[in-house]
Formats: sequence, C-alpha cells, structure tokens
Amino acid sequence: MCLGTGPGFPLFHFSLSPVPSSFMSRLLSISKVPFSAAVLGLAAFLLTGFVTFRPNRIAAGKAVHLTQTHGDLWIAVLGLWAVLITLSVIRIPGRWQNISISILSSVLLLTLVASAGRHAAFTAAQAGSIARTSLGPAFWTPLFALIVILTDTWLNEENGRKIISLFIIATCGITLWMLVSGRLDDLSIMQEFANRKQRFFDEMIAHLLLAGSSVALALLIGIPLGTLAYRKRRVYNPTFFILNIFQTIPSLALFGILIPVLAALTLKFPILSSLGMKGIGATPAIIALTVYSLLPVARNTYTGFATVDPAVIEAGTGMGMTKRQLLFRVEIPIASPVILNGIRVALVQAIGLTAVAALIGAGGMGVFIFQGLGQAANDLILLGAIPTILFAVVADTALAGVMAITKPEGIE
Amino acid sequence: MISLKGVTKEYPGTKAVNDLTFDVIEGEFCVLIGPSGCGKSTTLRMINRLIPATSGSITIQGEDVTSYRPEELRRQIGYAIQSVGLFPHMTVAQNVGVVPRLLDWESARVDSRIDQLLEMLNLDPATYRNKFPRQLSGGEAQRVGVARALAADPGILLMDEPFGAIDPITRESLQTEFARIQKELKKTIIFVTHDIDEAIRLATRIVVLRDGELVQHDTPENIMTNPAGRFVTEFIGTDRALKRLSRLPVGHYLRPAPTAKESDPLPSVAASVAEHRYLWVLGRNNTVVGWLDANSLKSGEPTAGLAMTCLDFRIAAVAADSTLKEALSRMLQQGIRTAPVIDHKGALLGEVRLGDILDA
Repeated sequence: MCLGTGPGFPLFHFSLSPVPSSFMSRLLSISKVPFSAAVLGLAAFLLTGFVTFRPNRIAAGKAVHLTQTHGDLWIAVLGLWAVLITLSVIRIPGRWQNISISILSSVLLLTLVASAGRHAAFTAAQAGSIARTSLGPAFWTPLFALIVILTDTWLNEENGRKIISLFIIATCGITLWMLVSGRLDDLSIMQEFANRKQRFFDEMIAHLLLAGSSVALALLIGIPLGTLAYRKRRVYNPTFFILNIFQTIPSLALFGILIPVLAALTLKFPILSSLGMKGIGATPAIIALTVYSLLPVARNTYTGFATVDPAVIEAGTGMGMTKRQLLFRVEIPIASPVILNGIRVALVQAIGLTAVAALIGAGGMGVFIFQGLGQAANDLILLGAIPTILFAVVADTALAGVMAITKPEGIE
Repeated sequence: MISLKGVTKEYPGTKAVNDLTFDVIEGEFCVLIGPSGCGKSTTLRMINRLIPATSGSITIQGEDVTSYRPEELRRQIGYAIQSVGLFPHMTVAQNVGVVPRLLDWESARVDSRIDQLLEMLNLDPATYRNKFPRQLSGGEAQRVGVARALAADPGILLMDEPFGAIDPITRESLQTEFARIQKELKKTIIFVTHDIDEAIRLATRIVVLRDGELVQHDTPENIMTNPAGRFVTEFIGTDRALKRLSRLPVGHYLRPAPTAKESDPLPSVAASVAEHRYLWVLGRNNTVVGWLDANSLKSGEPTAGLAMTCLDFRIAAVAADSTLKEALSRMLQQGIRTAPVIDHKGALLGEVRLGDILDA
C-alpha cells in the first residue's frame, strides 16, 4: 500500500516547543506500551477495513471501513479511541492512570465486538443470509492492541490489580454472553460455527483430550526420568541427548514417521490393532505429543532438583532426615516452582502442536484449520485457530496461578 | 565419650584416614586441625556416618555407631557445617525446629525451644523467627545454623569449619559467643578447622592430623610448648608465644587501679599522683574518662576532670573477659604500658600491665 497517494488522512502534530518543559513534563508522560498499541490500533482504523463483505462464501471480498459500518457505534469507537490515546500521554497521579486506561480498553473492546456484530446483522438483513461478513484488519489489530494494553496495565499496576482483573473478567463474560445470545451470529466465523456446531464441540473435546493425555503421560514418564537424571549422572547425557533430538524434529515430520512405524508394528503384532492401535489417528498423535512434552518436563525436573544447594542436602542428611523426608520436605518444595514451569511449557506447547495432529486423522481443532486451508475459507481457519489460542492462554494463566499459589515463600 | 579405634577410610588409590585412634572425653572441646586434605572432615563425617568407615570402630558411650540406624544416630548428634545449608523455603524458626520435629516433640515445646535458642545466639526471636534464610547476613545465617544444631539438645556436636566463611570480625565475635555458650552447655564438641588461632582459642584438646594420620593429640598449651616435630611447629607458626596469650583471660591478670573522680579538686589528688605517678579519672557510673599525671597537675585547672588527658574507654580499655593477646594489641596500638580493664558496662575493674603480659 502506498500511503502517500491515499485520500489524505488527518495527521496529528505534537508541537511541544513553545511550552516550558517543566510544565509539560508535569502534564505529559507517555505510557509507552498503551500509547504504541493505541497508535497502532488507530492506524489500523484509518488505513484498513473493519470488516470484509462477500456476496457469498467464496466470492472476492470488499473491505468496509469502520466509518462505513452501519449505525453510530463507530463514532463511539473512534471517540473512545481518542480518549485512550489522550490517557496514554497525560499524567494522572497514582494508580488511576492504569486503572482508567484498562477500564476504557474493556469498554472499547466490547464496543468493537458489538459494532462488528451489529454491522453483520444489518448486512445479513440487507443482502440475504448467503452474504458473508468477515472480520478485517481494523477489527483484529485494535482488538490485539486492547489485549496488549489490558495485559500491560494488569502487570504494571499492582495496586489496582483487583479492579483491573474485575474489568477483564467482566469483559470476557459479556463477550461470551454476546456469543451465546446470538448477537454475533451473522458474522461469517459464527456462520461457519453454526454449520458444524456438533463437530466443533466434538473436536474441541478431542483436542483437549489429546493434549491433556499426552502431557499426563509426559508427567508420568518425565518426572521420574528427570529425577533419575539428577540422581545418576550416567542417565543424564543419553536422556537429554535423545530428547533434544526429538525436539528438533518438525512436528509434521514426526507425525509422518510414526505412521509407517505403527502400521508395521500392528501388522506384526495383531494384538496391538485389536487394542485399537493404528498407524493413523490418536495413537501416533499421542506418542508424538508425549515425546515433545517430555523434554520440558524432564529438563525442568532435573533443573529444579539441581538448584537445590548440596549444602542443604548435607545439612538435612546430617540432621537425620531419611531420603524420603529429604525428598518430600526439602527437595520437592525447593524444586517445585521450576518443575511446575516445565509442566506449563509442556501444556502450552502440546495444545499448539495438537492442531497439527489433525493431519494424521487424530482430530482436534486442526481439523477446521486444514479444512479452511483447503477451501480458502479464512473464517473456518479462524474457527480452528482462535479456540486453540484461547486454550493455550487459559492453560498458561491457570498454571501461572497454581505456581503463584504454591511457590514457597522463602524462594526467590 | 567418643572413641575412635583404628579408623581407616580408603578411597580407590588413597587412604583419606589411616588407622586413626583417639578418644574424646565428655564435655571436651576437641578440635581436629590440619592442612586441607588431611582427613579431618572425613573423620568428622564418619562419626555421624555420612561417610562409612572402611575399617576400625567408632563408639559413642561404648555403643558402636553402626549399631544404630543412621538417621536415629544423626538425630542424637548436632551437626553444623561451613556452608550452613539452611533450608531456603523454611523460616528461621522452622529451620531451627527441624530435628525436634523429626523427634516428634510437641509443638509448644518446639516453639519455646526455638525462642530459647535464638535468644542464646543473640538473635531476637520476635525479629528473626519469621525471616527467611535469604534475608539473613552470613553471620546471622551461621548463628541460625548453630541454633539448629543445638535444637534437640544433643550431647554431642559435630562442627565442620562453622565459622570459616564469615568475615574476620564477625568470626571473632561468634567464637567468643560460642565459647561462652559452651561454658554453659558443656557439650562434647568435635570441631574441624584449618585455622590454628581458632583451634587454640576454643579447644580444650587438639588433634593435629596430617595425610590422614594423627600427629599429635594434646591440650593447646602442651601443643604450643611441646610441639611434636617440625610439622606441628611449622603449623603453629612462629608467633606461638602470641597465640598462647590468646588463651589467657585478662581477668586473671587484673591489678587494682589508682583512681580519682572527675569532680575531685586538683590539689586533693596531688599526693596520690605523686605516689602512683598517674591516676585513672572516673566519670559517671565509674567509666574511665581520662588520666592524670604530674604534667596535668601543672595545668592550674581547679578539678581533676578539667586537668586530665581525655581518653575513650571504647578504644583504650580492654574488657575483663577478653584475652591478653587483645590487651597487648591495645597497648601497642595506643602506645601505653598500662591499660584500664572494664566490665561489659564500661565500669573500671582495675588495670593490666605490660610487664605482667610479658611474664605470663
């Protein structure tokens, strides 16, 4: 895109020189992350389409600018966005700067989603149910910017964290309500969902089961393996040599390699196939996902134990602790934050990699991604990708919470 | 009583400890000393079975240590090491309470024991009980380590260079305090160090080791006066006369000191100055604030307090429970032949003279 030949968007010039700097610095103070994100969002509003209109699912799309959307909500969006930029450059004393920015971001996020839903409903009423309204860059970029701003204010404002958390939860709740109550049903992604509702929930469960069972298996193998590597130096090198090699194999290749291997095994040992083992499907997927999850789990178990000061072990033993007491009262509590972090990495990684497992017939949200790729239907891809991202974020946050709760107080 | 008979520890190719035999009598402070690699730590760890002995026997009160379960044995013996090894995820109180809890003490008894020990080691319980090890200085951590070793009131204490990693000033004060604690508790202590000054200061008996073998086993005095051979002589160093002074308390060499009060009129003390050549001038609470000599009498001031030469007792005086070595050091530093001796509140008890130190 060539910016110079565009229709001449308004530019903002900040002229700071005539005002005394001491006066300016008292009033102005740029909050870097919110400011950059807000400017990025504004640029997206001005330069790209808010939604894309297609007469039918496969026809070429036409970008619809935010200002061209139905109704007056866009005025509210742009107005609030201006306030957001203002809040990010002025100085408000204490915690209220971050709190007001995050409240405004929550409101903006909901307004953004609502206006997309309303415009889609309007279009559907006008052009018929066969017409499609897809979300465009001027929706996704500001949405992303708002999420970044909310995360940033949450992280930086320890004194206002409760209030900010409340607004984030409320925003998630209201968004969910808009989804469930049908206010967004005319958006193309929701139409894709409506067409395969049952399949969606089946694949979601399959996805979570694949990722969850693989990580559970990795825990069962990886934690003892990491402990063994810590206790016996001889186990350390071969274990991590092999696990590192597996980690470098692209997931697609590992899934592929497992198909003939498992097929050959089931041919040779028919009992395996009677147990439900096949060259394609869940078996190779779970094997591959477990192998990938093993490295973070085993390595962090090893590292966690290795952080225990040998003097602590000597003191504990010298005071008369048994091996078991030492393990449960000293070594595990000290190592637990690092081990939990390994589980967190393994889980987030497994949720992402499970999307690829759809290629070998294991199911999961990847089914929609690959269908969408095959049909050039972007909204179907998003229908698979967005829930995958959400699962990963939720898993990450939940385990971060567990870590925060269980972390022994004396350990930095 | 701890008794080692023909104790040997072999590692492939070397003998870390070779045929070691000595006894430690109850209540004795036995220091194992020698250059690094002499087998002193190995010997210590064979007593609580952190390292199994290759051959020979170690008995405590006549019972062979191998007749106990290792954990059971270790819970009866206090253990403190140079790197302290406090549990980082436990508070100071939880650290100190580890062994009593292993022994299933009631929690009220554990709590009162923790406070008692923290007080004994000059750590205010209210301040320190809930601190975590990372919030402690090196000296404080080592105090907690010693408190933890003493927690279950064991009869025997094994200490492996417990003050080795602490700065010299803190180390000296910890040594003094520990000597005071030992005077009260009368534990049987086996203490490993490579610092001969520490050994001479604390020990009632010293075992000198070299290459895993016993070179000399005797009282500090005898080791200094009759070192067994060149190795021990060199190990003690050339300043053994000075080292000997570090075992002699100032209190034993105290002499009565001539004094005057700050408010005394100058003429009334003139006779006394003429007799003694000098007088210590006492301020409030009998603290030493200065001295008078013949020159001060010529000043024409009305009182002793105005005519005296001022001194700061914190610099010039020595404490009664310090050693002659410290007194000598003060005298050399101040260029004086007589130093006032004070109690822990600063009140004058008497004086100590250079001549007495040289004759000691």
